[in-house]
Amino acid sequence: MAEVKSMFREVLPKQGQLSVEDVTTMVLCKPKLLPLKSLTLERLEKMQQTAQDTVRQQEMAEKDNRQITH
Amino acid sequence: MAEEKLGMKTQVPASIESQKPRPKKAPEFPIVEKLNWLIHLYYIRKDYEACKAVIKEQLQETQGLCEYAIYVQALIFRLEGNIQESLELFQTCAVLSPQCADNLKQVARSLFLLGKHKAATEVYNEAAKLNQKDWEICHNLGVCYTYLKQFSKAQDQLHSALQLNKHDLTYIMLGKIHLLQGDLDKAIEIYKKAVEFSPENTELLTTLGLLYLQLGVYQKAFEHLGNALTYDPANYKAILAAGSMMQTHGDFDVALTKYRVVACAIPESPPLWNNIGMCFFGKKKYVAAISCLKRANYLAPFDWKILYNLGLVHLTMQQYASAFHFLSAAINFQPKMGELYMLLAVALTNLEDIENAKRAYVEAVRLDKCNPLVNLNYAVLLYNQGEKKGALAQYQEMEKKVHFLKDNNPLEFDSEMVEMAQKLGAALQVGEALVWTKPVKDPKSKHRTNSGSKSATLQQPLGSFQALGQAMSSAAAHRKIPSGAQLTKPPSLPLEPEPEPTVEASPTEASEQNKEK
Repeated sequence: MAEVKSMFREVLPKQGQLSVEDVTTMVLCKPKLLPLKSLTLERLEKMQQTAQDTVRQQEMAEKDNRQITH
Repeated sequence: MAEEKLGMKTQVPASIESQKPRPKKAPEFPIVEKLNWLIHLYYIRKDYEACKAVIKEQLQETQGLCEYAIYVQALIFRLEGNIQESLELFQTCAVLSPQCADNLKQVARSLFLLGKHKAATEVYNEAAKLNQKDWEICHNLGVCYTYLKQFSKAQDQLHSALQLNKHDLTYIMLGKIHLLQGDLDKAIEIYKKAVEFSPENTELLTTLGLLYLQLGVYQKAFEHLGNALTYDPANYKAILAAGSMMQTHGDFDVALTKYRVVACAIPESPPLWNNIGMCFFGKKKYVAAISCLKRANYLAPFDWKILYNLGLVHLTMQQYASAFHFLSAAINFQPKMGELYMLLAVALTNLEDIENAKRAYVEAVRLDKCNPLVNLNYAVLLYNQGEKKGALAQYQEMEKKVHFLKDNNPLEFDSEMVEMAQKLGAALQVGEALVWTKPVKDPKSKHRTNSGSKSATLQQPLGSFQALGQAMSSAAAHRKIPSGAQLTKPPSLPLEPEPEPTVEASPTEASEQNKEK
C-alpha cells in the first residue's frame, strides 16, 4: 500500500555541559595587533619619494635645456 | 617571633652580670644589645631602610655577634626575596644560639621556600627535639612530607599538630592529602571536622560542598554551599557550584542573579561565562547564549565543554555548518564522549550528509552506554531513510536503556523526547508487519516510558480504533489523569485501517493490560 511518509525531527538535549569548578588549564597568549607599516618603513618611503621627485625635476630641467639649444 | 626574640634577649644581661661582678667590665656588657629596641621598632614599622642602617651599625660595634640584628636582617632579606642570603644569616644565628628552636625553624622555613624539602624536614626534626610542644613544627613537617609524597608521615604529623593546637590550615592540608590519595570519604570526614571547628570558614564550606557534589549528594552540597554564600555572598567558587546546581534544576533567573555578582569581580572566568551562556540557553535567548559562549571560548579555547555548548546552541539555531565546526573541535578534545558524536550526526543529517551521519551515529552508539537519546535520534534517522528494521532495533535498544535508568534512578525524561518516542513507536508499529510478540512489547514500553501527564496523548495516534480508544480512555480514568493534557499538535502520521483479524487481537491485549494494572 502507498504510505504517506512523514519526517521526524531529532531531539536535542535541553541541558548543556555546565562547569561546576574552575580548573586551572592552559591558556594561549592572545595575539598582538601589529601596525601594517612600522615608523621606520614609513620614513624610508618618504625619503625614497623625495629622492624620486628630485631626480624627476632634474630630468625635466635637462630636457628643457636640450630643446632650447636645438 | 621577633617579639619573642626581643624578650629572650633581655634576660641575658642579668645572668651575665651575676656571673661576672667585676665593676670595671660591667658597663661593657649592655653594648651588645643596646640598639635591639630600635631595630625592633623600625622592623615592626616596616621601615626597612632605616632598620638595615641600624643593623649595620650594630653589627660593626659588636663585630657580628649581635644575634638579634642578624635575625632581623635575615627576615628582611626574606621579605625582599633573597632567600639564599636569608638562609645563610639564619644559619649564622643557629651557630650563635644552638639551643634556640626559633632559629632552626627559620632555617627550615628558608630551606622550604628554596624547595629543599628533604633538608627542611631534617632541620624541623632537629627543632622538634628542642621544642616538643610546638604545633607549627608538626604542621610544617606535615607540609614538607606532603611535598616529598610521604603521605603517611604527613598525616601523622598533621594529626599531631591538630592535637597540640587546632587550626584551619592544618585541616585544609589534611584534606588535600586525602584528595591526592583519591580517598574522597576520608577527605569529607576531615572537612566535616574542620567545619565543626571553624563554621564560618567559607573555603572549608565550599570545598565540602564541591566534594558532596562529586559524590552526588546534592542536598548536603547545596546546604554547605548556601552556608558559604551566607558568610561570603561574593565567593566565586561557591557561586559557580551553587549556580550550576540551580541551572540543573531550571532556576535560570536565580542563577543569573548569582552570576552577575561574580561577573563584576572576575570578568575573565571561562567557566562563569560558560554557565551564563547556558542560563540564556535555558531561557531560549540563543543570541545572548552564543555571545557569552564565544567569550568563554575566547578565554579557554581548549575547554571541550564550551565547544559542546556552542555546537548545541548552533544546532538549536539551525546553523548547522557552525555547529559542525564546534562539535568537530570538541570531539578532537574529548573523543570518548558518545553524545558529541550524536550531535555531530544531527548536524551532518541536516547538512544532507547521510552516510557520514550514520557513521557518526554508529560511533555514538558504540561509545555511549546509558543515554537513550542517542538511540532515539538514530532510530529517527533510520526511519526517515526508510530503514524500518534498523530503526526498530535502535528503538528497542532505547527501551532497554530507559528501563535500566528507571530501575536505577527515578529520573524525569525530557518531554520532547517522550513525545518523539511515542510518535516513533506508533509509526514503527504501523510500519512493521504485525507480529504477535512485537505489539505486546511496544505498548508496555510506551506505558513505562510515559510520565503520568503524557499517557493521555496516546489516544490521538490510536484514535482510528474505537475499541482501543475506549480501552485507553478507561485506562486514563483508572489512573485519574487530568483530561486537560492534550497534544497541541496533531499526530504527524495518519494511521490506516488494519485487517479484521488484527483488530480482534488488539482488544484482547488491551484488556490484558487493564487486568495487569
